[in-house]
Amino acid sequence: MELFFWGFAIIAASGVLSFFLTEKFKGWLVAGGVLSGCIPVMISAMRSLLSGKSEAWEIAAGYPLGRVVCQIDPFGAFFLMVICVGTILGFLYLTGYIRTYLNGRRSITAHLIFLVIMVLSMLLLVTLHNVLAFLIVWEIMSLSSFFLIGLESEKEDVFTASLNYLVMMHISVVFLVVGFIMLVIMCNGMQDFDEISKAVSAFSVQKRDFVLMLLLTGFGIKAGMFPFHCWMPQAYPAAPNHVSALMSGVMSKMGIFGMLQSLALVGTPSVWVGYIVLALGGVSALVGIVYALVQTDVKRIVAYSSVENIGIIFMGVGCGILGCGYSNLTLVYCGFGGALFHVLNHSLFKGLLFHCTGVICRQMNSRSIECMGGLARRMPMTAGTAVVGGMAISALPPFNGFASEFLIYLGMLGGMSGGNTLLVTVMALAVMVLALTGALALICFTRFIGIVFLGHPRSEAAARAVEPPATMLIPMVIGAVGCLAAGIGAVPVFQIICIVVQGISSVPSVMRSIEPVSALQSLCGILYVSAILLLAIGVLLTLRWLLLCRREVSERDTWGCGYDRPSARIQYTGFSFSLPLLRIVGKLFKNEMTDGQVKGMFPVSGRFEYKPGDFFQHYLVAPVVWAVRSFMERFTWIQNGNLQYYILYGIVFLMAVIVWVFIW
Amino acid sequence: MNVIGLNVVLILVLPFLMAGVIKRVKSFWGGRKGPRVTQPFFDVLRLLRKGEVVSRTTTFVFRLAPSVSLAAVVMAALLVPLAGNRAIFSFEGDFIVFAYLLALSRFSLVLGGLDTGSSFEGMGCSREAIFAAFVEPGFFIMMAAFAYLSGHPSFESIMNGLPQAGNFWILNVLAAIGLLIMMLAEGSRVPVDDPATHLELTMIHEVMVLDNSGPDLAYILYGTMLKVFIIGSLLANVLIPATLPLWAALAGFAGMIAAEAVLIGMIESLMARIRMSHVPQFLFVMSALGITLVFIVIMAMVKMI
Repeated sequence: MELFFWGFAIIAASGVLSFFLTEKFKGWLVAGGVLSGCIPVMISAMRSLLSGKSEAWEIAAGYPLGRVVCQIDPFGAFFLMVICVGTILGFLYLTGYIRTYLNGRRSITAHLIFLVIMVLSMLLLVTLHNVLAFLIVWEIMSLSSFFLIGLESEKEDVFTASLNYLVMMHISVVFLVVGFIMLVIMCNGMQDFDEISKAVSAFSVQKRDFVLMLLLTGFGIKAGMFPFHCWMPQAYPAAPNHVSALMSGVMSKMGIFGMLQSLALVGTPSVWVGYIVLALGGVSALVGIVYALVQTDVKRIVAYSSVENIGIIFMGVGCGILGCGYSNLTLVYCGFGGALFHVLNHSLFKGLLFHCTGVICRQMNSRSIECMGGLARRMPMTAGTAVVGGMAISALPPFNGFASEFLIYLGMLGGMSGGNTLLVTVMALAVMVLALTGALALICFTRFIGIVFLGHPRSEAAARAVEPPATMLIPMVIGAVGCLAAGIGAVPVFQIICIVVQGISSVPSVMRSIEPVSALQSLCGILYVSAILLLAIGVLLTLRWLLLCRREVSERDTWGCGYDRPSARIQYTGFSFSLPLLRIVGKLFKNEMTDGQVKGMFPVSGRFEYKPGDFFQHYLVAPVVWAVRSFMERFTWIQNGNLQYYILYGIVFLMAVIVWVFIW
Repeated sequence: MNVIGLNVVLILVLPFLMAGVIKRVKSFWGGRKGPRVTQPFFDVLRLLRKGEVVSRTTTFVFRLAPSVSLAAVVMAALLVPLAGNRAIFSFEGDFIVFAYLLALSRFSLVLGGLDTGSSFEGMGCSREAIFAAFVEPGFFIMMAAFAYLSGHPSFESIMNGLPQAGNFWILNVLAAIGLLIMMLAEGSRVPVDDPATHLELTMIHEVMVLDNSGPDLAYILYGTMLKVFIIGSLLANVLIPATLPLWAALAGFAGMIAAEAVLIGMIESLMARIRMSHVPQFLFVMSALGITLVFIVIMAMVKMI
């Protein structure tokens, strides 16, 4: 535990010290501080993960907080590892990426401080076991990330996106505060998590389910669950790339952490909660990937695919809850385990993909995929890491995304052996949804890689692109290697995750001592498959090389099917790539097409523009916003800008409180 | 050892013969004599001995793609139970790995096609990736239904757990129809795709690999034939009873594969390719069959319990 606080102090100190340096070195100082601070944190987390024991540290904090316990248990330690890995890579990348902002027009001091605050608040969040302290730190995290998104707040879309984020986060906080207050009232004012989880089991399951649904909604908004996902595709593209990588890779995982933590607090819920989480997960996954498929903005593609991955994690969590309800061992371990594994994997490959898009957007000064192309020839390292990231996120063996989705599949198939008809039917459909999601993700990321990196350059800027500096390449390469390593080393990772799952207290105690043997055996099977696959690729490449080294290999232009004056503009575009699918699912979008008619026999210009608008934003969120707004506008006279009135309101409020306290 | 040897021989020999038989059947219906049954093997051999012409636009992706693709299909073939319902590798969840290995093969070929920057190849890539997305859910739900029936989610136990005879033969028939659709789609055959068409606009798989030549093209050709063969052997094992002695299983398996090749040849000769915009509807049939299977299986199991 001391090591954790040392690491925490080092990171905080680097943030404070960065005040006193010139702009040029601030990024380096903060990155160095985070790197050297995360290592002790990771050591203490690993110690807890490997031993399965927890360390606690207690402060008597006085009136509102009460007894505050800071604890590293295997469950929190797992998230500490995810945070540290994501943060280290993000800050390494930052040192290179922040240079664009060093043009004297903007001070990055505040930005770096907020970054450090966000990291610190996430580290604290997973260790604090006190309701009020948890909520305070949660709020600090949301606020600091709001300031991070708004780095370029002079741009209008950035400004609206960051405000939108702020509002969504506070709707989430409302659910959380109400849920936690109900919990504290039920437990006679206890604030410590362990005390609450002991006391709460005395209450009826309906009451606990209600509280749990409130908490799940609150945390679900943070994670980006359907139908609350609309803030993600706005906030991530608006934020600078290192921030979107951190937010998507690490911070949205705090929503998942909160969900699992509230499950541990409230205890085993009814099965219908599991069905709801599973269904929402399935819908998030499908909606996310279908939306990602038709976007033409690179960052929106990656942002919508975050919705998809959060959906997959939710499906795993839903399976885990169902497993607790039906006491099905495979479902518990593969559901929760697969979800946690996917949390780790998503933070690796999503960080990597956001870093890649950052590099591309920097080079192109544009986010539209229709003006890219051919970047792989000029930036082979970036392209290589992007291919790895794309394979990992499309869940292709031997990479890590496959291992975690495989576990969730196994859990669903294991859930079918229970014999409950409803469970079997739902699990069979869930398998189908997950399969469809996987297949659509493959289309999405072949499109992303193919249109951005391959083919002829579609614009001047694409033809002039160069590799980014090493400070940005190194974290991307580490991320790519991590994706492969977590895929090959799925067995040890899953063994550690099993210890974490045993620590989730809603898991029935009979299951805690058993290891999911069949799942581990299947993972060993994957290991063999991956090894032979890599071997086969090696053999086939060697054979190809042996065959070709004695024969003529000539270079020609691409076969143009008889046409010998091809231009870059006749290539398949991102829009046309996804058009066959758009024809089928087009009803899901609020489409905006401007279709300029071409005129005359030899038309010189034509214009076509397509914007896939978010259906749910337009028909679900916007009406609510409109209704709230038109209701609230009736009260604008209260805020009339006159100081005397405000003092009057204060006095009226105080008097009302006094009257309430004394007379009630 | 026995199983490994037998399966490796089958994987190396039967895909070529299957492709040869398909060609022969098509020639018969077209009123021609047609090439020898072994001709596809010599085609691949000839390509392996040639040099390559590579597009100037391409990168490392184009060069790696065919090898990765073939390696994935070969690995998938090692997971599939062949004659006598025995696979080289078998573990719980192997059909999930199988489907994702086919996806890996597709992923690399699609990227290889996009790497050339040709509009025709881009079109092929888009169609190949999108049509496959309609096949995968059907396959998974079908296998999930059978895994529920047999109690273990692996190919071998799924095939062993299938009803042998009696009232539920309808399950085998539905699964066989579903797998036939998958075979036609994954193997790029009529009515989803036409491998013999002369117009690039109407192809899917062939147009995606227009720029590949030499050993790369040989890899791709063998990979495609192998894909048809392994899905064909799943189909065969669905219909062949699992309890036969080895010689009978082997004979039955070879007979089934030959019958499938004849069937594909006949479909290709007697049917036209479906319009591109109608292909998804055709492929949805597989998912519909899969869902029907799940409900039949659940009803059956509930009645038994």
